[in-house]
Amino acid sequence: MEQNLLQECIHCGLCLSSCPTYLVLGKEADSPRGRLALMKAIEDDQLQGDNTGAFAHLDICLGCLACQTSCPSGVQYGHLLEATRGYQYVNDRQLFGLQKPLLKIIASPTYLRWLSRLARALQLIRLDRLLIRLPILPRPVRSQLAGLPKIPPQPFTRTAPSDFPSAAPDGQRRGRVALFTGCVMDHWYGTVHAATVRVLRWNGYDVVLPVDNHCCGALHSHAGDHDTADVLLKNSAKVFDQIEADAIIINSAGCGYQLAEKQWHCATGAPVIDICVWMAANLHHPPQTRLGQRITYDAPCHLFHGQGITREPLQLLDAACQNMLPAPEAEVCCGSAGIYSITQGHMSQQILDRKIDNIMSVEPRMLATANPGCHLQLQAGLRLRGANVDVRHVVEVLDLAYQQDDSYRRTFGIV
Amino acid sequence: MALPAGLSRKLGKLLGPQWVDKDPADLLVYQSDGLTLHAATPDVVVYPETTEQCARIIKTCASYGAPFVARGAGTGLSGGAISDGGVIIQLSRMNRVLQIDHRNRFAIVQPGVVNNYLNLQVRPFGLEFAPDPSSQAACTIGGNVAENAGGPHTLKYGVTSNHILGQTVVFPDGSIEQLGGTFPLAAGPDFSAFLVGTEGTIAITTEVIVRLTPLAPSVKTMLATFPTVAGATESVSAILSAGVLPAALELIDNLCIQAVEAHLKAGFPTEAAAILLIELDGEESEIANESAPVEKACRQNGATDFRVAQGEDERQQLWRGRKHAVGSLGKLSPAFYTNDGVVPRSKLTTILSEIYRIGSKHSLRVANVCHAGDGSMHPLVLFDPTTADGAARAMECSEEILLACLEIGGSITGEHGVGVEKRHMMNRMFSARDLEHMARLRTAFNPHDLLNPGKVLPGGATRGEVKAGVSIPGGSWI
Repeated sequence: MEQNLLQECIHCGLCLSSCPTYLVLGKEADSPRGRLALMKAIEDDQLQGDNTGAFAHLDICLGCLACQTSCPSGVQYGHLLEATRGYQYVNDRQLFGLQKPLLKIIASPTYLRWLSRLARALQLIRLDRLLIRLPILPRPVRSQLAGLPKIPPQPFTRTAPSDFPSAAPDGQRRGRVALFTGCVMDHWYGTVHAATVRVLRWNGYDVVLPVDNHCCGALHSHAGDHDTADVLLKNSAKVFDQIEADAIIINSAGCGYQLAEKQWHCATGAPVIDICVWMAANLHHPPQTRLGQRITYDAPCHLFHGQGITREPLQLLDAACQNMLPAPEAEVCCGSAGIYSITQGHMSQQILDRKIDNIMSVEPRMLATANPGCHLQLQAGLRLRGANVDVRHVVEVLDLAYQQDDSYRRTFGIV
Repeated sequence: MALPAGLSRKLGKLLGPQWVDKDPADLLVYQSDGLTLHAATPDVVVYPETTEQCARIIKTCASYGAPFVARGAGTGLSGGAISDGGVIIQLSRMNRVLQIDHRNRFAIVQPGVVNNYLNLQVRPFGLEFAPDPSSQAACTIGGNVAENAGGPHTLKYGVTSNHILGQTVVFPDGSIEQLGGTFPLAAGPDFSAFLVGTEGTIAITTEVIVRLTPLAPSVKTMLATFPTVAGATESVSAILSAGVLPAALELIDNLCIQAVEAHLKAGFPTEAAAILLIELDGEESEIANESAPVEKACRQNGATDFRVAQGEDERQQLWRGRKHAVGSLGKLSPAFYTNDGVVPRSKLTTILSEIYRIGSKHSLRVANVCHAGDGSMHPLVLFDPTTADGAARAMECSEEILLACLEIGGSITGEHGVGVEKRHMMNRMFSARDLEHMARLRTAFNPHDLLNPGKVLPGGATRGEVKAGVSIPGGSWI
């Protein structure tokens, strides 16, 4: 691994209080500084060949990158973590029995389709509602079921046309963008894609959907499965090679981080831009009426810490809502962290509990975020807590504000 | 050394096995605090949640004759929280704010509460805990008490000892005592104050009653740019002589500015030999009256630029640059050694030129950040850890700098404490008689030398020598 990158840690400890697992456990080995020391110990073989103990602490790292934000020396923690996990992956040590099958399912549209059908079947017969209340089921399992959105019968890209013309109220066409539709977003969060498309069109953009765009490999990279991630990244690039667009818009923070981190690009060289950044810069027709509900924002780690996108979501929410209430620790991880909520369910739930306490302290009616993992996790935490709070993507909130306007609803056929 | 058999099992019974760490990977991470030149590995680390648990841990350790050390966030810079064998009592789970009494302006907190976190809790009441070490984002109140922590704003508001009203402590025999109280005017000697700054060698603090200070109604932060370091240091005295007491008066020299601008981009002028960061606080009218004399003092001493931070964002940006200045040195050098010396304020000009002279004598670059108003300095000696004698040369250079401080009437430490780092220099600062008195005082409370042995006092009273020779020294706040 990169010895010199490890050397950049000066052991100051300023990262400690930003680390969600350290906040819960208070153990140095579960802090960023401790984990860097353990990476170094693995690298230098300081543990007499038995790295099991060290890996246990690396395994429960969320990879939320909050430590990178607080680090005065600019240590590339995320990069080092993925490299160490790569070592682990290659050496075929599984973090948890479920990890590899889960990564396989996500990487394959067919498997993901079947998983979605199973989840939809559970939802249709309302078995999920029952299972959530079954105390004998482990809480992480109940949490997954509680957090799932209503799964649509088809992925968004199967039901939508591939080309949408702009539909600005002033009739002005301002450009053409493509949407990175992804995997889980496409299969489960079609409503977010639909809102994204409407908001873009309303502001004057033609929107193109790619054909056969699937997973970007973010979760594989985080887990250290770099080979699969490389294949997925390459496949995603091919899909966009033929599409002429000013930008590729992405509405999942985790995927946006992955593409930025891996310097992903397609043949046309179109930049990848998060929907929040794009809309904050191109809100040509702000909503005329703002929503009145109490709303708070929870920053996805890969948006805030990973990509440094901190202000844009708040600017959009300000444009869409009258009652924005900042919650404490909004930039601390919710415990979702991709498949962490399944592979490290127990720790994930402890982190989620702290998160929900913080959110509920401002008593919101709506919670905005910008990443599918966080979306699911936060909705789960709130439902299990019995709180009637609606979790929405930032762009959905914007869309809801627009929907107060009749002409917007008419344009897009919303009843 | 190996622990007596049965101790860790007993500790496991006390706390639950998950709160007793004894595997190599778990212990390895406790080798160092913020100072990595010294490393030592404990035998066991325990994580209590209450005062009573601390007392029972201490009694158990004492009954086995095992040494024990309290540790907070491990951001200390003198190796005070490391333990060569023995038990580390890690206080990070004792992180609750127990009470905030905003009308009587005090809070009762557990020692593992992070300085910044306490401030976030009390700010809605218009209050703050004034000591603001640059590590405040991570360091704990318990550690602030142990080290008598300072920070940029101690110039006006005083160090930690000025803000502690009382403590609950556990002595090395396991007895729990409450010292001081919730108001400052109790009868008798202030025993709690005596414990502040004893670096965890007399008792372990398990609850702290802190004084809360009203937030200043308004704040103004200024940045003065100087083409010479002497211009900046002379301005410090000139500002204070003009009758202005700034909340903070910080000096940052060129090398540090380069580091900050390489990574954080705080907006410091990279061509300056030194800058002063000056903060005034109080009523708006008061600040308005004080600004002119400050600017005049700087201009008279050659300031080429003098600007006032416009808005809170710019102010925060400047302070972020200052507070993370040392950490950002990692961008200029793979290793550096953080020093901590104090001189009388009037000698700042002399000592800084002496520091640069000593540095060039050793062919080492030295960067400086100073709480200039207090005469407190942090010379940072940059070195290459990959060469055989890199660290040794840096330490030699640093020692020479500290001796130069002593020579002109200063001290070998202002804020970072003695720990293991400066034990061997204590006899340069204190007479044998002084040291004997200190040792007797410690023995009175810590008769078997089980609590934090081998720290602060030179010679004797030590269990094993601390290992030297780890490659990446650090430390980032000061």
